Amino acid sequence: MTAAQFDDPFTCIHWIARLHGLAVCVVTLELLGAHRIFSRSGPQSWEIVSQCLPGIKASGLYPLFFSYPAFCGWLAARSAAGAVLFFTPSDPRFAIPSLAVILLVHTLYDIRSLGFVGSVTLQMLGVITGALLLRAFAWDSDLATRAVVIFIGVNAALAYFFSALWKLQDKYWRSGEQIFNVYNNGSLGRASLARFFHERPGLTRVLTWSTIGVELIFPLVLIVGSPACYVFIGWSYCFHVFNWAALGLRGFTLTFAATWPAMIYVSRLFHEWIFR
Amino acid sequence: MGAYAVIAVLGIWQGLLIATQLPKFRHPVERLRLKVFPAWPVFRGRLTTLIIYYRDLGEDGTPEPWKELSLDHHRGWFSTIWNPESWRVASVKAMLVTLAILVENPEGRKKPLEEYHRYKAVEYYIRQQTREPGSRRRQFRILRSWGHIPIRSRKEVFVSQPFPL
Repeated sequence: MTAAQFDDPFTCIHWIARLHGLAVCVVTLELLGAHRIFSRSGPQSWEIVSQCLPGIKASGLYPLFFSYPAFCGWLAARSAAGAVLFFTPSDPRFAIPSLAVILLVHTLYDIRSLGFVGSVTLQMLGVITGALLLRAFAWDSDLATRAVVIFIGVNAALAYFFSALWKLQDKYWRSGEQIFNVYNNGSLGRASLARFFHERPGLTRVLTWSTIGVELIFPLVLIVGSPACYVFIGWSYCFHVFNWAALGLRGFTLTFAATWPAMIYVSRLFHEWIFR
Repeated sequence: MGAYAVIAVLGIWQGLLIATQLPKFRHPVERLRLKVFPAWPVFRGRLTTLIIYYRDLGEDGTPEPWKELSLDHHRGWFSTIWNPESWRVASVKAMLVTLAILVENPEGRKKPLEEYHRYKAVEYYIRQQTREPGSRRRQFRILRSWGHIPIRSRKEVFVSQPFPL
């Protein structure tokens, strides 16, 4: 792939859909591997969830959508839909039904998990799926395809920016210690990294504030053009891959990877509009 | 025509995406649990770990020792690629976090704690754990730990009343 190929919105959306399909497939396969959490004795059993959602229990939708074996069937369908999207991202006969299945099961899982589990990954998956599916109404339109790619690129960049604004409101981030706290966290972190940062408070402060700083200026990726946009994409790549390796955030990484082609496209396009 | 409709929908969606970052508009979206209007508060607040213990009580009320509900998941090199157990851990942690928020903010409660779904959910899950022979009741407790390097000592968040098995 060359940078110039990303000037074509159809090439760009082809890669977004392909990477998105991969992310959906992998995340859902792992969830299927954890299927016992939906069983009667699991932490997401219907007996637990139905107490919080009495309306759905009363509506009679439970057996078809939420009962233990049926729900795993829906997850398998989403995983398969992700695989189909990966292999046929530009064929509307397969891509549109796949995206519809992904969105449906995404909504079912969101209801089933009460919106608590895997939320950042699922939120971005929802945005990308929704935007790609909207294109179904004008599949061959250059204008609509451009709009969808721009929408995905802009929102990926804004995700970092808004995340930085949330961090600035948080006293633990402002204290400069939050990077240590993240790696010291018992469920996600790693003891070796926690010790490393605990012994180096200066480095911890630099990394905490530089994370906020880069996220704050991240929307600049939308106008700097290439090759400067690769500095931001490279930071995003390192940030996500490190978090994948250190914290096990696989879904988070794969989901955001699908937005990189969109950010490259938007950066080149907006740069030309503004500075030509 | 279709293209303009797509652009119009994306434009409205984009406007709402930005507007819902403001706390004033965030609240109704969170109530509806609409994931198409995401927020990005990643790793905010006090990043502690909640640990849950439970114990059975015999017919005469004699308690067994507290047992920790395992929330460890294998973190070997392969877990970086494939770790379904992390979903179970995340699910249980999510239940504990929501209950802890309720416990630690008593002023926001409108009814007894035991009547909240969040409490009932944890009680139901703890009820599913293997039972000691002859036990009739069970109770659980939640502790807050400060992670791999304990910068503070563990703090008790909550101890439930015994409930029948």
